[in-house]
Amino acid sequence: MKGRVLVVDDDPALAEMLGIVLRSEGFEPSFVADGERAMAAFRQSKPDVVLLDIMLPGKDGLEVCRAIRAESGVPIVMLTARGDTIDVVLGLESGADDYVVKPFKPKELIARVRARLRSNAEVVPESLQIVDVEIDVAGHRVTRGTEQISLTPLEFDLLVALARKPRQVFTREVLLEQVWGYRHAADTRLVNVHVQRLRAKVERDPEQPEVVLTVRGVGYKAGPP
Amino acid sequence: MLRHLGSEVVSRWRRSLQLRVVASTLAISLSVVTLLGLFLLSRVTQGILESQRRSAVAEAESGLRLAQATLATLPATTSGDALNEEIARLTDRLDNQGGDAGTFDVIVLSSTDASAFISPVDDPSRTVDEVPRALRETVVGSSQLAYAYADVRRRGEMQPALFVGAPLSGSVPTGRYELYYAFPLGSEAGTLSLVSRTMLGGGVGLALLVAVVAGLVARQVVTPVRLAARTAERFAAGRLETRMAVRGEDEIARLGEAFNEMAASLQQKIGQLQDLSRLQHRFVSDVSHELRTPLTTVRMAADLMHEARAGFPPEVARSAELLQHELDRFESLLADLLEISKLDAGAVVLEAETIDLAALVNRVVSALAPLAARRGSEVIVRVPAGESVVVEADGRRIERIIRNLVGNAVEHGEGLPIVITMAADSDAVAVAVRDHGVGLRPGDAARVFSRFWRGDPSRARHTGGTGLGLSIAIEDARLHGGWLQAWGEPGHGSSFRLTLPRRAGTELRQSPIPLQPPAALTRSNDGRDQLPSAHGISSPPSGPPLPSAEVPGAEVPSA
Repeated sequence: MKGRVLVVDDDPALAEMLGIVLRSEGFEPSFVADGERAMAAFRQSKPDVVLLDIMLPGKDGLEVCRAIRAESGVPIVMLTARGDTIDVVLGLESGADDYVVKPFKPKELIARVRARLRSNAEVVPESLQIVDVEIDVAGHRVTRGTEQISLTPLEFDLLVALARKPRQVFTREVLLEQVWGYRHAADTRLVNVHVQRLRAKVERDPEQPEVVLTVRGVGYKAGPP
Repeated sequence: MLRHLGSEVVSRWRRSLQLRVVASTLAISLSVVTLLGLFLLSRVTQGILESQRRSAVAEAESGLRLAQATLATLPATTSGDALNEEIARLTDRLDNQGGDAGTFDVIVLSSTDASAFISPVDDPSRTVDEVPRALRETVVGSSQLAYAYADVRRRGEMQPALFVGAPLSGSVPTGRYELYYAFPLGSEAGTLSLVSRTMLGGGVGLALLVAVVAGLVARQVVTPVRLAARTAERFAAGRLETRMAVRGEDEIARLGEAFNEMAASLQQKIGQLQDLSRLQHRFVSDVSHELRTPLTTVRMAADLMHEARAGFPPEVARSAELLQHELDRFESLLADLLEISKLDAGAVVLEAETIDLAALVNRVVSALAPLAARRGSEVIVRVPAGESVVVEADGRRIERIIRNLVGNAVEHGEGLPIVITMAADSDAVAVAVRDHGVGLRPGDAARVFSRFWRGDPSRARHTGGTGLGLSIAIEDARLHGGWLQAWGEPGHGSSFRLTLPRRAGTELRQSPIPLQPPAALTRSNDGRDQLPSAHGISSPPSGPPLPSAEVPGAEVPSA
């Protein structure tokens, strides 16, 4: 059972409370209180999900996020106090998969963590193709010719969701539901930022995308197989 | 083309002080010069003619005396050709006399034979018509010396002349004669025309010179004023560092100094305000973060306790419930406070997009349907048939306004129908939310938007409204350049109308929906509104089916 959660938060009370909630839901939490020691704790605990506070003493959350992303595709959920500011976009662009805005309800947080873990658990033998990009769903591998493309689980899920229905145009809301597990409308910036990140990895020229196409005013769709 | 030119001139006239100064100076100096010129010319003309007349009359009188003396010496028997010869001789003598009056012609006519030209005889082309008829009549009638001005032909040219005439009376033996002197005024006319030409030229030149001087003077004043105006415009456009160049110590320099002082003080004040606003926004942002972290912990703890309340003693279980509820209120209060603080600091950015207001309203109504059902209020949405209610606005904020209005209507609607009307014209769209509940007391329509205002302090608070909902709503409406207005009467319910410009940034002039609902104008005998206005309306076909499940975001909005 995958359930190790690394909590990176400088507020001891909140960290402890998060621990209580996570443990009561069957996760194994570990904690680190400042940005400087976050990477060491990450390497040591090898978490399945990281809960990361953006405002941290020492190294700030965005740097920690980038550092983790540099070595791992582990799902990162940001904890932020400012849901409607540039912080969210910066966090997502630094590599966070999702975010929750303080004050959140325990259920909300657990739902977000579960949604991030679920994608890793879902394995069906299947092979998909968009243009010249091959997707081995079971093996979690994306290749163009002989070159392997390294995607985070979330980016992988996003690409698979698009590739499974090549002719369908996905609205941002539908993608939020299928990939992020939101049951109701949420922040469509999540989709926009991650599509940009995905394109940066899978497109030959991200300025002129062929794999993930934008359908103006509607959403996104996969390029021809 | 001509009209275009005309309007161009009018606009230049209105816009250019210099043009007006030059034009009015030119007009005034031209009229003064003209009047002065005419006056001088008439005086000069009079003077010249008067002196000419005097010497002419003197000449004529002396000639007359000579002629009469000469004729008096003639024997009384002289007649016919002999007499005419004598007269011709006399005429020659007189002609050759000359004098102060310059060259002149002497003509002798016969009074007895009006058509006979007596002398001079050497030129047969001459006739009696040379002498003005009126003068002849005066001379003959009054028997005195008289004069008149008339044209005379000399060397084939007509030129003005002064005629002086007198009857040759006394001892003329046979017949009566008239002696006329014709003094050509050619040289005087030449002088006068030279004078008038000189005066005209001089006058026009002078007027033009004055106009040019006025233009230059005006330019000296207007150029710095124009510069000042441009500087002020730049300043008003937000370039607060703009200053006027100050040269010398004259009035313009003082204007420049005063302007610069004003600009500096404004810039300082605006800078202070901006700093203050930035500080406030920063503070709000920090408070937000600092408050939210402990609140999250409390929230989670309360939730945990709430989940486990079944195992607690009853008092503790109830406490956990109260804690949970009040935390919800606390959270929404905090969120509202932060929002209004952001609005006050001017730190909000409008994310305008094209939104379908009808869809938005239906979404809000669906979300609030469970609450409305609990209160027993039917919510009726009226959309104009076949018309799209599309508007350029920030969907999140508009949804918040509508959610607030509908939530309030449900809250205060006392279970009676709630009617939401939408309408659009070319410039604006409007939504009116009408309830038939307790209504508003006189004066409350303006106060409902005040922060933390409560309609009736004695009334129990049913829901955990923050008291900031309508304040935020009206700020959100203002942010769009829109209106949010309330109408209400005690016992007749109330109506809240949101009007938005169709395109962001345009100015509203009128709303497509009247603020006072038409149904409120007619009352039944018992003083209640007649509700058929609401009951009689069917829900629009576009209204979505009301979901039975609780929809997220359907929390009771703040009142």
